[in-house]
Amino acid sequence: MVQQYFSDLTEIAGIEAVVIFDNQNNIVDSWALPKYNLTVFSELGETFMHVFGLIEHLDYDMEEIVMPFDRGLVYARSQEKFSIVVIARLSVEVSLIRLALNVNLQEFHNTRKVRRILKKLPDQKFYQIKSSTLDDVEKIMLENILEGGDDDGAV
Amino acid sequence: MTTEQFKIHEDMIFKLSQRRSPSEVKLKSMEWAIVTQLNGEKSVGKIGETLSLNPTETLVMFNRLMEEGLLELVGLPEKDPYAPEALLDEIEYAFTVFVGPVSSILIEDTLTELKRNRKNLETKLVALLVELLSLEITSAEKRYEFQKQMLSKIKGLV
Repeated sequence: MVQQYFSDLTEIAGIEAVVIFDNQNNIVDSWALPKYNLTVFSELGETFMHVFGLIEHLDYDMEEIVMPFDRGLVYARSQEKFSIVVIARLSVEVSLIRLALNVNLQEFHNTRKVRRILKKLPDQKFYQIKSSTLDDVEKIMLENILEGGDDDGAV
Repeated sequence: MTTEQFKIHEDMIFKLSQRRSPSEVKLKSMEWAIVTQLNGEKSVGKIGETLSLNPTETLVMFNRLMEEGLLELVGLPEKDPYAPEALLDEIEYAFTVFVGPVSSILIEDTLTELKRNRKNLETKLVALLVELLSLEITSAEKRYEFQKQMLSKIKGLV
């Protein structure tokens, strides 16, 4: 699926992994250079699910996150029913990743087969945050974040 | 080849200058780390990546090393770092289809915002230019069409 619908992205020199997660942190599909251990993607997906879940719950107008790390950057984009995470070398311009994603996501959403798959996926991220997956510090942070916002979604 | 007249670019390749020893200069630990990586083969960007420096930090440290006379330029990037003007003409042509005759003004304004002009826009910034220009297209459908056209033009350049 990634290679089929996100080829503009995977063909950019310096793109090392592209992973699609559903809102329950299942990997829908992934493409990565062989050096990547696929098990790390689940942890990565969980982190972004937490962040995007909170963003959704707090109704913030923010759909992407870019985080540099020691050897590259992680770009994550939230869509209603899924999130897409891109790992790239630092030499790749974020605007190029965004441009390729804008174009490929449009085609992705317009494909009948994809629409059928997406229909079956849960559409809320926040309520997928399970307190069992959070450590004590994360739980306290979450409580603090939610204190100022809408309280009806306590986990 | 002297280095003083060059603005350091991440595709440039340096080796340690024979004119001055690093021990004559007080260097920070990360600057020393860069010195150890200078082998006349690795580019500035590659060394920055190896040492987990971001591009700005890398250029700041290379600039300091150059000011201290420790660098000798071995190779300029084979590829011209600047986008060909013909590409900007193509962008303008396509952009005019979507926004009309104000396209050239919008392009000039956006280039000015980026502190660039048609002659010195780095290839890697073309995607950012396209992104900023896209914001001027109000129709989401037309914006997508413009981005799609532009992506096919710039993908091979970077």
